Amino acid sequence: QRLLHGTQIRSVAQPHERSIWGMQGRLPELLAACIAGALGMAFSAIFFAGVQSSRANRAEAKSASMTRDLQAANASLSQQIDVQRKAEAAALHAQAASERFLATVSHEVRTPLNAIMGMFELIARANVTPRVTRQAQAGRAAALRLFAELTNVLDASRLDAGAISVSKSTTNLPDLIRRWEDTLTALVDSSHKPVTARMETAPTLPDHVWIDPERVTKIINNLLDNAVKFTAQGSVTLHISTRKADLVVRVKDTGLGIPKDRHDSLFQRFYQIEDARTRSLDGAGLGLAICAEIADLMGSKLDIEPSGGTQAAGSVFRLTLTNALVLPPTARAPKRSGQTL
Amino acid sequence: MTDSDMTDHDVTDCVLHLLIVDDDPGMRFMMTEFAAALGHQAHAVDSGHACLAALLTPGFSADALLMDINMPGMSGIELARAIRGIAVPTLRNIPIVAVTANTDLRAEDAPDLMMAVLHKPVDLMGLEQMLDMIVAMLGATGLAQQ
Repeated sequence: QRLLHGTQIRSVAQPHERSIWGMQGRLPELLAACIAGALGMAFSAIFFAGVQSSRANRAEAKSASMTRDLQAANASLSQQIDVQRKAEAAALHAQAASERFLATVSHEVRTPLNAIMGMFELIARANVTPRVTRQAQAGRAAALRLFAELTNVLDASRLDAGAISVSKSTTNLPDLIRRWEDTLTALVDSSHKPVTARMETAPTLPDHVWIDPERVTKIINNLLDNAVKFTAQGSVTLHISTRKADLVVRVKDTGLGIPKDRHDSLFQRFYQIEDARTRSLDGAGLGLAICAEIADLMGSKLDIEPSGGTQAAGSVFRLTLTNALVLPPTARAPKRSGQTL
Repeated sequence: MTDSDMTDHDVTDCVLHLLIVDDDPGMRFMMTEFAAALGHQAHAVDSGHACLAALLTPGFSADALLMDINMPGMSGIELARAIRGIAVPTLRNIPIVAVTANTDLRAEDAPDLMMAVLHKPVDLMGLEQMLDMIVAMLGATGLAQQ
């Protein structure tokens, strides 16, 4: 095929060659044509060069304008970034300022409140008369509630800022349980309602658990407080058991119980406020939401145990402290038991 | 449980000499009264500087310090650092309990400065447990002073 192709070319070229060699008599014409052609080519070259250069110029101009546009866009972007950065810094500054403000206010208010609580406690303890004791207990309970509310507001703001830390340590469980029991007894006693405090502890509880005693106690106190608050009569039970490597703390009450459709919303912030007008039995406001969020932060879970259809039996709040029974091999000797709250 | 019962039994007669540092007059009075109600003796001062002055007064001695952390001027942490820096062995090792409303403060954060943290609100029971622990510790290490 290649050969065939080659012969074809040759056969085509041959007449052409012949015509050139056959034009000897018309050389000046050819020359003129050549000059004309050359001139034409030169002109067209100049023309094309001109076109090209004007194109290049235009492209250059275009690119220059694009560069200008880009520079302007860059400038505006960096301006925007600047504005954004300033806004961000201002927001962070405002957040830090608001946190500082909350921390200061909370300290300034909680410190004298602590003194008030302490004085009431001493008066109640002095056994002046039963009536004075009850008055002092009521005063202490009110101050305690105010203290807790302030702490909740502060905790909510700190949770939002990611400023709440969890610090687990080897914790003496019997000590901690005794303290929770004391809290429950004190709450029941000061409620002056026909409610009894009950303790149920599994027979084989470990001596030490790996938890954050402060945070866990905060949650338990909140649950106990709610249970006593919403139980008109019957009992509030603190039930402590284990499930695999988890420590499970249940707070059971014989109150009205909580409808199943409210089990989740109960752990949302300001639930009580939104619903307070329509419900005679109010939720727990900020407290439970914060407890759930802190439990989450600890890798634990706070929920309501399904009652299995026996609504009248009250409710069971369950705190599952995940892997609390797994002590790290390098765990320090427990020295912090009994300093909760 | 048994630990606590034993220490309770051992320390019933032991009286601690406490130095309380708090800028809030209410807390100062309350802590002093609490200490008295629990059978201990307490001396209260209102600032870090007053605390250092008391500790350096000849003849003054304390078994333990209960100090507020959030104080104007010298904070409790600064005070603890200053006390640990004093070239008196008993002060270098004196048990310091931080008293604070800051739930994030833990003794583990600065074990050389404080032996424990008592979180507000401080109640009688919480203070009692803490003081029992100090008595047990001082008794065990033989550091109790007069």
